[in-house]
Amino acid sequence: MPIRPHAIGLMVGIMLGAVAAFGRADTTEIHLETGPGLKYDITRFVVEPEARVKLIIHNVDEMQHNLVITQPGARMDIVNAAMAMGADGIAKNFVPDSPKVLWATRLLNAEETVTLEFTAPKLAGVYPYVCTFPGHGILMYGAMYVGRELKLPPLDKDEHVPPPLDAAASMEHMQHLSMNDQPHVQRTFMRDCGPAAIAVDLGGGHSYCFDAGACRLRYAWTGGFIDTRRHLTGNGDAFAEAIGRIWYRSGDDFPLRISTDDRAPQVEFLGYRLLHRVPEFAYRVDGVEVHERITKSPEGQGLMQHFEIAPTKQPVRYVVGSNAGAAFSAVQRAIVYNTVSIDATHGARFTLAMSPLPNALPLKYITCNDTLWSGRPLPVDGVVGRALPFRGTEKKPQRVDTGVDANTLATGGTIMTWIKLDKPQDGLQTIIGSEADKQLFGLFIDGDTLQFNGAKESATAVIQHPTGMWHHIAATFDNSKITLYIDGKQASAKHAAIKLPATRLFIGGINKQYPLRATLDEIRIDDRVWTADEIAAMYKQEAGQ
Amino acid sequence: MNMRTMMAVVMAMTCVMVARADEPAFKVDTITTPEGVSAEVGGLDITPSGKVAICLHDGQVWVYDPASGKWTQFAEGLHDPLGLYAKADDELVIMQRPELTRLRDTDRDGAADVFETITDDFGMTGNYHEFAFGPAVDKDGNYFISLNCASSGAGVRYEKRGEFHPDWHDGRMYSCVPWRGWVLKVSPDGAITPWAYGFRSPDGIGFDSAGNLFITDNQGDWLGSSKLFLVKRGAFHGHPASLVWSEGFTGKPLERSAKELDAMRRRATVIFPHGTMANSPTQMLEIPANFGVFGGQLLVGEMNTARLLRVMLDEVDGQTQGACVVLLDNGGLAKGDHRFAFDADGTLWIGMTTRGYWVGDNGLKRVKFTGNTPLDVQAMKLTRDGFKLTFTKPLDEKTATAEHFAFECYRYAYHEKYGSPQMDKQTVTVKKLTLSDDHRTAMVTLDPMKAGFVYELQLKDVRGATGESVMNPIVCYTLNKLRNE
Repeated sequence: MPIRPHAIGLMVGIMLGAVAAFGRADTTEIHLETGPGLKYDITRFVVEPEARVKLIIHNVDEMQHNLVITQPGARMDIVNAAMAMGADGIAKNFVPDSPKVLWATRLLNAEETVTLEFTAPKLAGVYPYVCTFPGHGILMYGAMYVGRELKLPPLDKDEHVPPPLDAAASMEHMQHLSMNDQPHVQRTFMRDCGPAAIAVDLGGGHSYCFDAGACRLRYAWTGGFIDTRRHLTGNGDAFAEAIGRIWYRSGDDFPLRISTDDRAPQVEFLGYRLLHRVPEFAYRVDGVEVHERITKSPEGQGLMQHFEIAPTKQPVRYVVGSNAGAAFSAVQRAIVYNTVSIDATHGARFTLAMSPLPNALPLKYITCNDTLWSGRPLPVDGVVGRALPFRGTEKKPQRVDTGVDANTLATGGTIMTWIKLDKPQDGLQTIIGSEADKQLFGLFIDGDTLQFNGAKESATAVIQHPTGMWHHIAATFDNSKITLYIDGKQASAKHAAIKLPATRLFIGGINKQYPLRATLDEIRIDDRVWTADEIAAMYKQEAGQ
Repeated sequence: MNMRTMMAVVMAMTCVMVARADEPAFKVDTITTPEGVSAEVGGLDITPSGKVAICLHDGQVWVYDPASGKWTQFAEGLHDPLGLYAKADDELVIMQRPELTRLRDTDRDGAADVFETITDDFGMTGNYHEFAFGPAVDKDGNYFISLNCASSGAGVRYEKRGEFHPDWHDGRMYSCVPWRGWVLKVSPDGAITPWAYGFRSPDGIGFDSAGNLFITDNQGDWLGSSKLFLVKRGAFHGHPASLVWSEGFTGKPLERSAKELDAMRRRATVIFPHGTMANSPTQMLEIPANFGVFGGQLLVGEMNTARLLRVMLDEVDGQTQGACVVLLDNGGLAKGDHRFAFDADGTLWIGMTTRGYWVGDNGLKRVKFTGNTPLDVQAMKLTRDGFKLTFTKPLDEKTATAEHFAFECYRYAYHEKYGSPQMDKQTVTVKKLTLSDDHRTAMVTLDPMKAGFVYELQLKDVRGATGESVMNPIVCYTLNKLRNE
């Protein structure tokens, strides 16, 4: 309930409220969320003088927050007054008894929502809003601009909103790392890996992710190192993201066996040493010490894995399993039935060379096993591993930047995903798409109809029983044809020349429009046209899980 | 003498008087950190040769040489390190999210080349709130580390490390992989011994010179206000999530009632009243004899305000409890006072952090005692019917009367809700106040005296014999146990 410390204000509010009830339909409604970190997701908005305003504030953070709107220029006065309330503050929601407070909410616990309805001031100006919980107000604030036809300064130059987080230093550091051609090691949170991940940049944009918990290489990419900014400037919930294209992904199994049987061994991570800045990992496999150093391949493409096994009487086997994207060869050794056998009685060394197989992995593959956003909704059970529920609305869109611009698929492309709609939805929803010049591009769904829009041209196909069950959908396109697939089978084809915009592809919405309310899993975007056989095989492989 | 000259003389005299009374007890200055480095300090220690080693939020490790003023980078690449122990100039032991690591510079080039995993034998769900703190090092070289619980503010990863119990993913802060919410003892060879549990966000862990292990925990669910504990081996310290890993545990963590849990828990040694003293206490560290007159007491840091706190311990029938008071407010300090170390000269080094986005400041500061002892409560001991308050300097007896010593008491609730207001708050009557012959000690007799309450003293215009004010007039004593004889 809004707390209004001044009776006069209350009276005026009621009077104006009564006037508003008589037919002024235009209430400005704003949805505002807290955090994560000490911030509001909307740091400024504009209302006309004396407009009816409805502020809906939702606290997604675990800390308590409020929202207090003050007279222009009074933010710090109110913040300091709230700090001075000391122990009594909580009972008063840290709202100081001051004429400089215009409107205020109570303290919100996690997941609570409160609505603040008021009539905007008559006097144009910049009215700060702030969380007055002690310690928060220096960072957690925004500005309500009251006026007509206002020209706002650019956000990063607006002194009424919090300054951009000083990620500059760390971001520069990371960019600097990937550009200076020196190897770098960074332990951080990486997707599709255990929580103890080690990202390594070998220089020249060749990088890989090593799983210290599982003691093995998980994937490798080219084109850069990692973007740690969101991980470092948030509460730690966001991942560091690989920059570039992942060309190799290991399978699920640990590849070494130092025993006579085939069960997965006990592994223990021992750490690493740096040799000319390149890490050599040490770990134990069923008690036997193994060193592994990964280097760039001398030919420039691919990587080399150099192993050293401590002396052991046990037979040593390296199994080249389902390693997507790479062709393996063992230097001066044979791979027989996918296995390299090693005699390590007096210790042994061996090297595996991994060469990228062109087009083996898609341009972008999102497993959906881990979240793509902060907070809720959390991942749910999916077709393979976990899946991500998109629950966007026009007021609160929930969309994810794929990092792919549509025109990079100029020579042909494939967009593929599993999708589960819970309820029949009317209206167009974005699966993966973008917009340019008011024309839509990408994969959409409208009720039960799958739709691929190629700017002017589009192809459609109807999904039988669209809700309540998982369906595999795919669209392939190039200069002349659009083909749609449902559950591994071609559903429709259209001869059409499509136009690829230069705009970014998003999952789950186009700006605030066409929000998606469905769960997605195993999303792939590729810069080539997959064949019908490839799509059928992928469907069969994943449906069987 | 004309008016002008007279005024000048008066002003000069006033200035002299004002200067003496106002000369600060502590001098704070800021050390410039390397350019392009976001100096969010997670760990800080002094090396045997007197250099200051710090580890940062983005994983870099830098060493500052106070003699030359130069910085050298020792390492990069650690994951959110939140504690550093400088074992040698070429060997640092650092606690990072995934493990306790020994960094060694074996090739003598000034940078670490060996990163040895001392232990990673605890679980990680990948939840953002699973921080790891320490090491506190005992006299035998064992490392004590503490592990934060996970938060329901986010989920768990698909792939985790350690034995995962999905049915313990319950409550606001939870522990569903091994040892989250626990203190672990780690021997130098890496073997772990679970030591104590019931912690939520134990950011500060450390030993005093007598070998007592202390830990701070932050206000939140089940913590009405932030606390300092003297850690007891094998004891449950209050937050139920970590109960699940204790011997013989069955069922789910929140099945036990608050009443049942309350009966099991070890009480805080010192409570930091929220808003008054600290909102987010950080590391504690014993004050050496060459840092003012508070040698042997504990320094405690605070994130939310530009403040350092001090803890004065007391012993009642074999049980430790005590009081907290501000050591220094502002005076050149910044917010985010996270990690501390004293060097051999008694200079306090402070590493600050915003941790990427949170409240605080970043960087490094240095605090020296100027020799100008402030007027403050030096010790607060419980008596049978009140307290014995010893001051750093003699008081003006005119201000050492009951009217100048205002007491209130209140308690905090123990419940699942995040934090607690001050409950059952009441004024406490000062029935009698006796000042010692040397005017340094006031014995107050109070009514009522209640166990389980925080006694907050506000000194109202108490002055020293020379007229100076008390620097920190609010003192909060955690009265767990009354004195019987």
